[in-house]
This record gives sequence, structure tokens and C-alpha cells, in this order.
Amino acid sequence: MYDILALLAHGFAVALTPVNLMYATVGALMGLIVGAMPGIGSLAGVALLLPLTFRLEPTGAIIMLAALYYANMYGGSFSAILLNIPGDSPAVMTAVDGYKLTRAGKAGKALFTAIVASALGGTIGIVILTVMGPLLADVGLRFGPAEMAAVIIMAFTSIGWLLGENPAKGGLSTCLGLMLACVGVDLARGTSRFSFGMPDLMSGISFVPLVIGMFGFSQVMILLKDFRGKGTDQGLAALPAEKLSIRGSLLTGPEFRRILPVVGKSGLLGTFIGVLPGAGATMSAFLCYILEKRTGRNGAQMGEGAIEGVAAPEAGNNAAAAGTFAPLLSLGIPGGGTTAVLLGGLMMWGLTPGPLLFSEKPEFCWGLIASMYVGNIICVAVAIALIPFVTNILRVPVRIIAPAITVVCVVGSYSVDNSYFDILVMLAAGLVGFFLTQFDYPTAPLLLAFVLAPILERSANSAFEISGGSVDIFYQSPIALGFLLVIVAICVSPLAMRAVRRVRRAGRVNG
Amino acid sequence: MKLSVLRLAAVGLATACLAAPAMAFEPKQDVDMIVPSSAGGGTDLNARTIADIIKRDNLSPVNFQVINKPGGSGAVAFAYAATKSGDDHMLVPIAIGQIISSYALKWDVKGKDMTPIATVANDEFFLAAVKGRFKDAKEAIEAAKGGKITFGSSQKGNSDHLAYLLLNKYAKTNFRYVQFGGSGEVMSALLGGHVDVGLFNPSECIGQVRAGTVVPLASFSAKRMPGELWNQAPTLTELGYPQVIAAETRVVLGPPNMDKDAVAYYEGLLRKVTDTERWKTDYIARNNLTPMFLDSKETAENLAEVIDKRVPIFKEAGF
Repeated sequence: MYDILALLAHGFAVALTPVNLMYATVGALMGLIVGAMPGIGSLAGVALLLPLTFRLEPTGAIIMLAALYYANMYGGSFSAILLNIPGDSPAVMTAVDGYKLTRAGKAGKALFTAIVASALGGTIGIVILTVMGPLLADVGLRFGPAEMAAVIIMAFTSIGWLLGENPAKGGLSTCLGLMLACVGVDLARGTSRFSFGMPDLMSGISFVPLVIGMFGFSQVMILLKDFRGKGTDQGLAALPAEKLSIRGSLLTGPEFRRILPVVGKSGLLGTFIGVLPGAGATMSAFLCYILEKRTGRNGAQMGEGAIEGVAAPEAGNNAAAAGTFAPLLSLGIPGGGTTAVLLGGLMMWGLTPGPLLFSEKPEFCWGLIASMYVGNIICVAVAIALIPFVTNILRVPVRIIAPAITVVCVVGSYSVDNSYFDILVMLAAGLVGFFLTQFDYPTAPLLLAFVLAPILERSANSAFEISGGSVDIFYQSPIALGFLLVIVAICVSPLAMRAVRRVRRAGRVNG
Repeated sequence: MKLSVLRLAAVGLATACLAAPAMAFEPKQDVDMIVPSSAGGGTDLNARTIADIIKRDNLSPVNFQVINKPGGSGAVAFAYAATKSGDDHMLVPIAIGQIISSYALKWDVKGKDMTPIATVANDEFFLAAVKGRFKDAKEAIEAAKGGKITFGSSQKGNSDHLAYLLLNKYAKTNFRYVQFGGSGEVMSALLGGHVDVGLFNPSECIGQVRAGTVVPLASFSAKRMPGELWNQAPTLTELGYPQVIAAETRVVLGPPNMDKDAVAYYEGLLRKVTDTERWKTDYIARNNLTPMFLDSKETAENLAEVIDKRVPIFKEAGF
């Protein structure tokens, strides 16, 4: 423990040099902007900035890019809460409760919750990374394809808790997500399926245009519908107003106490999911939301505009962003897309990512870890200072904001892959999203199914390839078996509880 | 890859002399480099390095701009290139694996439809395992005849898959192909003991190899890779399987029907790029690639050899 503190202190000495502080600030600012813009996520942001860093000193460069990555998680929640348009896919769940809070006139509160939860969740992730990074990376290695498949099946089982008042509608929405996820590469053959001969569909429907359409573009239509014929056009601020100032946004003591346990749980779960191979911040945000909805004291309110619904996914995605650095630094293995790009960066800066990195370049590794503590504080300061400015967007008249959002949606979906086809995907998803929302079908289960299904298919496929087609692999692994038992418990417990209640009632009547 | 270094050098010298006379073609507008994958990948890095060197060393009067067109693991970029037939201001930097996929996965536009311009680098393949799992490649190959040894790799119908099929056919092994989402996941599965061997480019496993946790068992190239980390691993040719040759060669193509003079211009330009010190140190060495340059004719021959002689193995394997 003392060793770690000494190394961390050394890391702070590196991170707090003026030039590295500047890199962290620049990275954090860019991350906030990139995160808030729909379409450009952390992956594209880091990939585009990377070539410019090749001539920098490696520690400064990684500090900047890492700051961009985790600041992105803060920025994504801005547009999700204010406009119901997640700036980046990990913010999808934030939009559910965040935007409801905005419509209830509590935008400032929602933003402040998101920032505080992000900071605390991120810090939990960094502390875990500091204390037991290599150990955590080893735990991640125990999750092979069979174990990952079991985890995802568990996640699927728990979608039920997201379905809302009408399970049939939620179930249909989930199935729609599964169907959309089936378009693309058939893993067993390597060829494309349901692509109807269109090269653009051969690797499947892209997630970003789908999200932008489902949330952003459908939102434009909803805005136009809601505000049509109202005479006055004062923008979203025409909703029940609150003081859009920092003071009005601060959380009260009781509110703060409400989100603390949420942040604690989500921080731990999120960090762990970040470490798993092939999982990431998006999945983490989803699962943390579900965990809170199921186990939280205020779970029933979630989905209707509860600050817990903002705190859980935001703490979860920031913790996951920190968690992905554990396998990257201690093993040289990227946990997701963004860290894969960072790995390429390490090599271009002349470093060799791998088990020796910590011993060969301690100033690099510990400088980065220490900078993450510092960077989080910078993010909080900048993000809170931005609250009064960004909330002004709510005062912009709908006749201006609606076309502006439309432009952002189109540019955002095009810019991911420079593809016109993705604009069509976005428009189609917008139409579908509009009708789903109008008829009270929840869109979150659709997107969750769309994110999880490919990981499930890939893991299950790999597991069967390893076992030669036998299902033994799923119960011979203790971890996979454990998750499968949890799944059984999830499915059986409502029935069992009902049975117990009936027996008790019968007993009371008879006795 | 079959060409010896000496022959390569000789060919290089000869074409360098031939290329000396003034070119008939000069680009009149910015050249688009269509990268068939997302920003941040290996091909993207290759393209951006080329564009950057051309700009900084003033090798061309126009800009080379990188445009990412991912999708269909390359099919989207090929389909796009086919609509620009005869366009002399467009390059498609690509990994040979995607050219193989155009046949194995039966895309509409195939590798031979495009115009070969040059081969600029070679990314070798190694069969690797966790230290202590197998004594050497021979032991792994013997063990794999029992049909229980798993072989971790990514995707199907690409050069990884081709390397696997060649190994199974000619070494008469029965490795089980297990595909993952990327080389990072393969490494996770290898270290976690979920698969027995994996296929890696040097840059994908160098960290583990240096730490001694993973050992490169055999190389899929014709010659051993230099460097003390890699030269201990015998080639599969040395082990008695000269037909088992595969690598992720980095090729630059043009759209179909590119003008001959334009091909000559870009070929000369790429030769200049690959001769720069920056290319050798910042790109080749840092990414653990092997230097390699083939002109348009040699690239065409090499592609024809891979497509005609090796790709049919996918059909044999019932793929």
C-alpha cells in the first residue's frame, strides 16, 4: 500500500507540472465539446486527435487523450438532459430520466446530478484502478466467451425491469432491437445476412445514426408537434421554469444523500464492466441503471424523472472509462474501441504496451493515473461553470432550435463514417422513434437489445467454437454457472414470491 | 513475400532507374485516399502516414486527404471505388485481407477489378501461445492433430482465416477456429486460458512477448523476422510446410481502369514515401512491420498468386 502511495505521489509530481496540467485541461475541454455533440463520440475524438500528438512527449499526449475520453462522458449528458439527444452512446440511459427532469423544469438539477455522479463514479473507478489495477485486469481475463455470454444473458433477463407499465409494448420494442441487430455479418459463415445486397448494410446498422435518429430527430418532430399552434414560442423554457443558475442547480443535502449510495453501487459495477473484454461504457451505463432500478429505494420513480436515473448511468459510464485503463496499462489489452485507438497511440509514441509498461515507464503510467484524479476535478469545475450557459439553450425558440437540431442530427450521422446511407438510417430511425414514443413504446429496451445482441452472439459463437458445439462449457466454468444460476433466480423469484404469498394468505384464512 | 530481399532490391534499383524520366501525369486536384475502415485502425494509420509524409516532404503539388469509408469490412469502399472507374485522383490503401475477403465473402466488386499500384509494407503473422503451454511449434502441431486445440483469431474470410486454413490443410492439423471481435479479445482469451494458440501480428503481441508471458511459436512468412524477440521462432516453411505462407501485406490500389501514367506517378510517389527516414523509423519500426516495396506489376503478380493459388482453399473448406 505504501509503495502505491509513493508511486502515486510520484505520478502527481508528473501530472501537476504546468505543461501536463495544460494538456489535461485542453483534453477535458475538447472531451466536453466532443461529448456534447451528437455523432462524434470519444472514439472519433481520440482517433482524430491522435495523429496530432505523435510529436508530443508521450506522457503529456496520453494525459490529453485520456482526459478527452473521460470528459466525453460528462459532455454526453448535457445534450441528453437538455434536448433528449445523447451526445454519445453511453449517455442513452441518462436521457431517459434527465430529459423528464428538464420537462419538469429541473434541468439544472439534472445537470448538476450528472456532473457530481460522473465525478464520484469516475473517482471510484480511478481509486480502484490505482489500488488494484493489475489484479482487476487478471479478473477480467477469467471472463472468456462462455462467461461473457452468461453475463449478457443475465443483462437480457433484466431488461424486463426496464419495460415500464406495459410489458407487452416493452417486449415488442426489445424484439425490434434484436431484429435490427441481426442485420450484418453472420458470424458462423462470415457472410452478410439481411443486407438485401446493399454493401452499406453488410456490416450492420450503425449504432450512432440509430441513436441520433431515435432520440434526436424524433425529438424534433415531437417538439414541433407539442409547440404547434401555441401562439407564443419561448422554447423549452416555456415549461415550468426554475432558476437556471448554479445556485438553483445545487443539490440539497437530502438529494445528495439520495444519490450517494447510487453512485457507490454504480461506481463499483461500472469499473468492473469496464475491465471486461469487449464490454464498455455504454453497457455499463445500461446495467448500472437497471441495477439501481431494481435495488434502489427510489427504483419505482426511475423512468419518470428521478435524479437516481441520472446518477446511476453517469456514475457507471465514468467508472467504466476508468476501468478500461486497467487491462490497457497492465496487460496492453484494449477493453473497447477508444482504448484500442489509445493502444495504437502508445506504439506511435515509441512505447510498448504490455505487462512491462508499469516497471519500464512508471512515470508514464502513474503520471496518467494521477492526471485522471486531477482531470476529473477540472471536468467538474468546467462543467459546473457551463451549467448556466448551456441551460440557455432551453430559451431558444422552437422555430430556431428545431432546425438547428435537425442540422446537427444530419451532420452528426454523416460524420461518423462519411456515409450518406447513415443519414437515411438516422431519418428512418427518427420516424420509427417518433411513432414508438407517440404510442408509449419505450425506446430504451430497443437500444439496449441492439447493443447487447451482437456481444451475446459473438460470445456465444466463440464459446461454441471452443467447445466444439457442446453446451458443457457453460456449466463447467464456475463463473458462467454462477451467472446462469442468478438468471434462474431472477426468473423464478417473482413466481416463488407469489406462491409464498398465496400459501401465507391461505394459511391466515385457514388459521 | 516469396520474393527474396536480394531480388527485391534488384527490382527496386531497376525500376528506380526506369522511373527517372519525366512523368506524363501530374495530379490536377486533391487526391482522395479512401480508407476502407474506421479512423484509428491499421489501414487508417498507414494512409495518414503516407499523406503526412507527402505533405511534409513536399512530394506532390496537391494535398492527399484521408477519407474513411468503413462498412462491410471493406465492401463499401470497393463499391464506392467501382463508381469512380477511371478516376485518376483516388487511392485505396488496403490490407490484403480485405482483398481476400472480396472473394471469400463474395462481394460484388472484387480485388482484381481494382488497379494495383504498389505494396508498401508487410505485417507478419505469428502463431503464439502462453509460455509453457507448448514446448515448440512442433508440439503444438502434433497436439492439434487430436482436434481439441483451439486457435483464436478475428473474423472470417480474411487473411487470418486464410492462414488458419493453410495450416490445417498442409500441416494436417485439426485446429478449432475460434473467432473474436479483435486481436485484443484474442489476447485476453489466450492469457485467460480460454484458447490454446492465437494468431497475431507482431505489434499485437510484442508487449506480452517482451514480458515473456507469450511465446511466438512459428512465423507464417518465408523468412524469419529479424530481431531477437522474433528470430527464435522458426518459419512454417522451415518446419516442412512451405505452402503455409500468409501475412497482412499493406497494398495501395486505384479505382478500376486507372490511367497507366497515373499508376506510374503514384507508384513513384509511394516509392519515395517508403524511402524516407520517417517512414522507416516512425512507421515501419514503431509498428513492428517488415519493410517491403513492390511496384504495380509485382503487386499485381503477388495478388494474382494469392487470389488464384491460395484463396480457392476457402471453397475446399466448404466456406
